[in-house]
Amino acid sequence: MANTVIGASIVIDGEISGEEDLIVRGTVKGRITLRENLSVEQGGVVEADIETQNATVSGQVTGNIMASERVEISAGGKMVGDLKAPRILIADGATFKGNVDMDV
Amino acid sequence: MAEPTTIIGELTSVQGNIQGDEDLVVLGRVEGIVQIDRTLVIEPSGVVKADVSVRNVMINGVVVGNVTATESVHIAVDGKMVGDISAPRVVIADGAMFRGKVDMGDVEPVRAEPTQKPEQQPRRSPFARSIPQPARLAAAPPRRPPVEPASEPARRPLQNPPEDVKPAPTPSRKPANSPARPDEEAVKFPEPVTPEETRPLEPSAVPPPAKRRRTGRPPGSEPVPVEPPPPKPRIAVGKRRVSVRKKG
Repeated sequence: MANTVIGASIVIDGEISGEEDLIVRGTVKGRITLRENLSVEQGGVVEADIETQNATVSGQVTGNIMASERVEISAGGKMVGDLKAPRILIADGATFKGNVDMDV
Repeated sequence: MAEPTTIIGELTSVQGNIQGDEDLVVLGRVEGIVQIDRTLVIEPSGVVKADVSVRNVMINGVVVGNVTATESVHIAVDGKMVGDISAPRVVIADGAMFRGKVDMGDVEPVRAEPTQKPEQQPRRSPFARSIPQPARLAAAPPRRPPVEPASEPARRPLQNPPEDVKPAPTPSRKPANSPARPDEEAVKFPEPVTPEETRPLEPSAVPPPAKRRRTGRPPGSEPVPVEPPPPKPRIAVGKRRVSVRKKG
């Protein structure tokens, strides 16, 4: 399974686009456009608008997420921004501030 | 313990700056600037259109941009690079493609040792026997070869002593000219009559037009070529006397 991993000490300032899964353990600023899954792991910091299929946030995300399938904010995850997805899961312990729109 | 590695997957494209402190493997596309203090590996499917500053870089894919490495740059067999390399160690494998400059730091240019040339003999044609002959010809006024046919056959026989050559063309010109020359060199005055134009031996009505350019005269006004110029009038109108005669 092809995978893009942004390591912990990496800072990307720009746009990321792809057709495969993306795992962010570092810092991404800008914009993320994926056709697959996005996973922001613990320690990952994303300041971007995200457009993806699935999104799993265990790190910090500041920006809007638009998912075509599902967004999950797990415990320990922190999100500030709008969510737009048909399915949303916000786990206990997660931090979230923003709008939720499930009417895709 | 595997070091953390960042992987840009084959279907991923990153446009922007990448900075970090860990290894980076690019299978996809990166555009922008890459600054990593570790090793950058560009796989065969990777395309990097960026200026790269890394420690080591191993290029198996395509790189368009300048690469600055603090340790080494390695372009492998299937690597292609267009751009400048600046690194202390550079390896380009056989089969790789590269276009650009390579700067490996201070490289002393190798100087070829000066070869000891054999003593140079003056080239002489096998026919030239009298060595002073060219010198004599230079002493004679070179500007206009003498028209007299008498001098030419005199010059041709090579055994002729040079005296035949010198007096034959311009015996009177010599005294007229020789004081003139130092004057010309010492003083640059617009001379009303230039020595080369007044040829006492050739009172031709048509002075050579080529000479006139030295005085810048219009073609219409021709100086009187007939009279030999005395030294004094050759000095400028302002009646200034300048080193006409050699003092002492």
